[in-house]
Amino acid sequence: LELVVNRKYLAVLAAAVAGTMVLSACSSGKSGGGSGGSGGGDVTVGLLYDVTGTASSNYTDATIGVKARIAEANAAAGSSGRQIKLEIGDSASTPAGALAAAKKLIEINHVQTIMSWTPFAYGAASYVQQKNVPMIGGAWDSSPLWRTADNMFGSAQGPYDPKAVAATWGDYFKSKGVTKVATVSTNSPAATAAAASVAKSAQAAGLPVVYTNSSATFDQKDFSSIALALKSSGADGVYAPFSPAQMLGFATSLSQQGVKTKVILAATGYGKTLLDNATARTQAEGVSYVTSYAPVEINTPATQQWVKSLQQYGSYTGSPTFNVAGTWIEADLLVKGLAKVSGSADAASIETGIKSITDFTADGILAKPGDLSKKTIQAGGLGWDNCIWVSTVKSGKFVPENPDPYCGSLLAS
Amino acid sequence: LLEYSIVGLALGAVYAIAASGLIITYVSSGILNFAFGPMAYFLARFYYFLLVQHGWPIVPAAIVTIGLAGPLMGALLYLALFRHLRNSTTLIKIVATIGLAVALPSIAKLIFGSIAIPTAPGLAPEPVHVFRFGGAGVNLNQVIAFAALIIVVVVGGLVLRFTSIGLRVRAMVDSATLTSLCGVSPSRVAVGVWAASTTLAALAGVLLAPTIGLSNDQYVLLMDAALAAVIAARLKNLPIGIVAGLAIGWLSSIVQKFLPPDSSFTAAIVPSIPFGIILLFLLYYLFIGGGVDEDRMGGGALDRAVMTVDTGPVRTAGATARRRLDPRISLGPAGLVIVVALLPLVLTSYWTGLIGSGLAMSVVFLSFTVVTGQGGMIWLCQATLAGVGAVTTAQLATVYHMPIIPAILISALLAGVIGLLIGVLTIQMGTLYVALVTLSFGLLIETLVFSIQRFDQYGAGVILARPSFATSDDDFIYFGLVVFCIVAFLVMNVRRATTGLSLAAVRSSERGARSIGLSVLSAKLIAAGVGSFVAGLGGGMMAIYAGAATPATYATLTGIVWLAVVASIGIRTNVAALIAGLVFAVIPGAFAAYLPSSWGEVPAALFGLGAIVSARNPEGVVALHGRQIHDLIQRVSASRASRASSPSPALAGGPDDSYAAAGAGHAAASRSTGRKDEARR
Repeated sequence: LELVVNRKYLAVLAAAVAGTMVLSACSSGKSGGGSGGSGGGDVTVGLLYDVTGTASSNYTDATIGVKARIAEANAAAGSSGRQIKLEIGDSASTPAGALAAAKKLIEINHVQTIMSWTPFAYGAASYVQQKNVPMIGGAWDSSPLWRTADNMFGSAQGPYDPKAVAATWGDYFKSKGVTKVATVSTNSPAATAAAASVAKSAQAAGLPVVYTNSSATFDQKDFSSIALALKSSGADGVYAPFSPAQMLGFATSLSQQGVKTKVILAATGYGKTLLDNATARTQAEGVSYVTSYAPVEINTPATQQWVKSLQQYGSYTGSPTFNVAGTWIEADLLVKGLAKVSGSADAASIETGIKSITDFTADGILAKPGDLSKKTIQAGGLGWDNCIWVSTVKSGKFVPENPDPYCGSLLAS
Repeated sequence: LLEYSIVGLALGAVYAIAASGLIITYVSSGILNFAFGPMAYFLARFYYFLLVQHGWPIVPAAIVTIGLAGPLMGALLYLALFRHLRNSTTLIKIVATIGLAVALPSIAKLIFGSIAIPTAPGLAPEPVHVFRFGGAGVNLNQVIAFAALIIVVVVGGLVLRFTSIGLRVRAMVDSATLTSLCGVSPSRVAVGVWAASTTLAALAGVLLAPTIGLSNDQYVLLMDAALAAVIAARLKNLPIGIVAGLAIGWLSSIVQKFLPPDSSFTAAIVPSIPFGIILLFLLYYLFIGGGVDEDRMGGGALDRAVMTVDTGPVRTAGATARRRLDPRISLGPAGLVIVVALLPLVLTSYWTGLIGSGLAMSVVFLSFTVVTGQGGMIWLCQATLAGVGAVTTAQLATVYHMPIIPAILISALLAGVIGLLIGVLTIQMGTLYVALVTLSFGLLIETLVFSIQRFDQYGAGVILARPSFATSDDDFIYFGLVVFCIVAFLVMNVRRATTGLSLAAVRSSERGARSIGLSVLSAKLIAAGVGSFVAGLGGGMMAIYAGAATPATYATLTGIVWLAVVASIGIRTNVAALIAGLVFAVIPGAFAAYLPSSWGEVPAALFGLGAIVSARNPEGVVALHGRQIHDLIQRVSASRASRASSPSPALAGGPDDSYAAAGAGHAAASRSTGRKDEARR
């Protein structure tokens, strides 16, 4: 039996390797790396995100936004117009996975643009730059190339410097009557820098920062002892750049230990996923979530149209999550860039098209227009021009603090 | 202080539950289950599937998960896997459970779907009631967890001590042979033990989900923290394990009161607490308690006398001498190297890129060949050592502008020195302790060192340019092949030298090796040093290939997947390390290129299952099939020779250098018997 099991195992292995080799040998010669255009003006684009691996559970709805926006664009173009075809690259929750997926998109799928929605995009950034393929992204991963590379474009926010400080946070805390600020983060340099940026903003607004804790581990969900320490510090405004799941653990610990604050500000977590989960809804009560795009609850004509499109082309209802909104906005920037290209589109012409956009608002769902023609550096965790919306969970629903976004200038850090 | 103590103990209960699950399983089955965390996750995910995705009420969902799915999973796993591990070495048992740990999360995603789970409900109804003790709040889920911990310990203790079932289980642990002679069926007891153990995993999974969240990584990391309590308990002492678990939670809470929250010192202390406890107890046991070695415990003299430990097929030294004269032996590895070298001529750059990255991985995988395959030690920090090589190479190349080759070599030497230090500290311990300590060490370095901004660069790592002679993927393949061949040559020489033969003898029988005056210590230290050097070198190669030394690439848990891959392909041979590296890069690449992205979890599941299969065939598929091919050649030669009336060799070397390993008499004898059986078939 042992022999049979092992023979079968090796057979599967051999078949897989042989199949791979045969398929690759059959494919055409060396790839030019996405520089060739598709016939008839059609374009192939790729979405790079974590389909598998440890981070994948955070991005399960990442394709909804991009697919919906592309379906809308294809419908608008009509069958005789330019059609956009989407390929997926699995960055597998590792930098090496991002590189392999970008190679697959460019060399096998021959995509003319890559949209990235993974914290590991930096693993692929240098390669994509070498291949001269435009890369649209959230620009929220750690790659410094977003700030310098000509082919890389932020969509819902501009390129940011982790050390930059914007007045937005301090002004927001002040507007809510906060008198003492606390920040809590994990011990990673990126999270510590995000917390420090908010703390400096608060201090610039004249608010003392009475508690700073950067000792949380990335797997921590129980923050009881930190909550006790925070309670004794007397802080009434808290900022915590945690993942949505970790934020719920933090909020639970705060309420369980009886911490009374005026504001608990969460970096991410707004969206339908949170409201769909009864436990999460309860835990998030009173927590304010930051978005770089308009929460649909402000109910403007722009958000109404957005809700309608998401429903029609993505069968998606409810508040768009960070992933749904983010990939929608990425795809919208692609569509706007393509609109500037006449005739058949290739990587170079799409890049030129995107660069010519100076007033990108994703049809009114971004606070301030993004200028893709230049690299204006902003602070982290904010939308274009350092603007945010804030929505607080009240009675199991997101309630925007203000229909207009909160914006602030960049301070000398 | 009281408030901090209460919330600390509530958190400590989580570690105590995890630790008691591991200890009870070990005590009753003799296997330290590295898959306990993933099993708990799998069953907690099943509970979530019933409760949230299908809207079941809490009670039926809990009963089906804990009372039905838990024991069923245990019984199935026993029949399919653990049954075959009873007489295996600790090394093989660890690899099998690691394989299971790698496969389960992917299988869970394939079965239950990949959905976002922001938070997981427990056994308490929503909204969860909060009790006040002084100024501290403890919720109903935490109270239930505490109560469950007490019930499990009390009921478990009573059953083990005062019932006939408990007596049989204890008897089986003390001496399986004597117990069998008394007419007790070992299989029946073992099925029961495994069913009980997975029920415990289900209980732990469901109880802990609200506190730690519902993701596999959380469970694995929780188990790693709980390992400190397990080591404190010397794997067996449940009360000490529970107290140590509670102490970890208590200490984590107390430091938040007494240490400044904004200092980097505090940020370093918090994640170091489990490692500190491990260090404390190990020192105590080494200097006062007489060392730690799980092999010294359990089993009577009779068991040792009749036990046939499966150390995997091994060959005599005579085979080595013969194979040097046999030109066919190196045809396989040399042929493979030539094939890989020719691949850039026919493949597109996507595939050459994958092969380049696979070659860098192969160099790292050679470190498993040295440390585990030859040295017989399970180290779970190879990824960390590779990371040390990578980040040091990047620092030397970018900050000190050193040319890349010397930078890699110096970084590898640093990794080698670290490996030697780990070796010195752990060499006197049993296999399990070494695995546990190296795992904790890896996680500690990852949290304390790799997270320093100088190395981390906000996550992106330090950018590292490829050397001018290997800028293209094609050139990198040649460069990688040269490095691999040089390292493989080094490894082969270590294996063939006295050190390698000593290690093989030690692997086969440590007592026997000592009795003939072999220095176990120095041989294992050389394996530790060389293995770590190779890991560092491979890490540097990986960084060069990727163009950046990104600490996230070298996560300790990733290293465990690497071990599963190497174990399934073959952990004793250089050529298997080469194939493992290529398979690790190319198979997921092939899935990504030609199959829908929803198939993405399949390769990880296959790697895990491969390691499980390897438990039943410890030499790995490459050596097994290499031997089969070689045996065929031998038979053909033998039949030709018999026609010419010359005798055929009874034992001969295999088609690769794995067979250089010297072997124990009983293994050689069983091989001869196996050969006859095979010939008859």
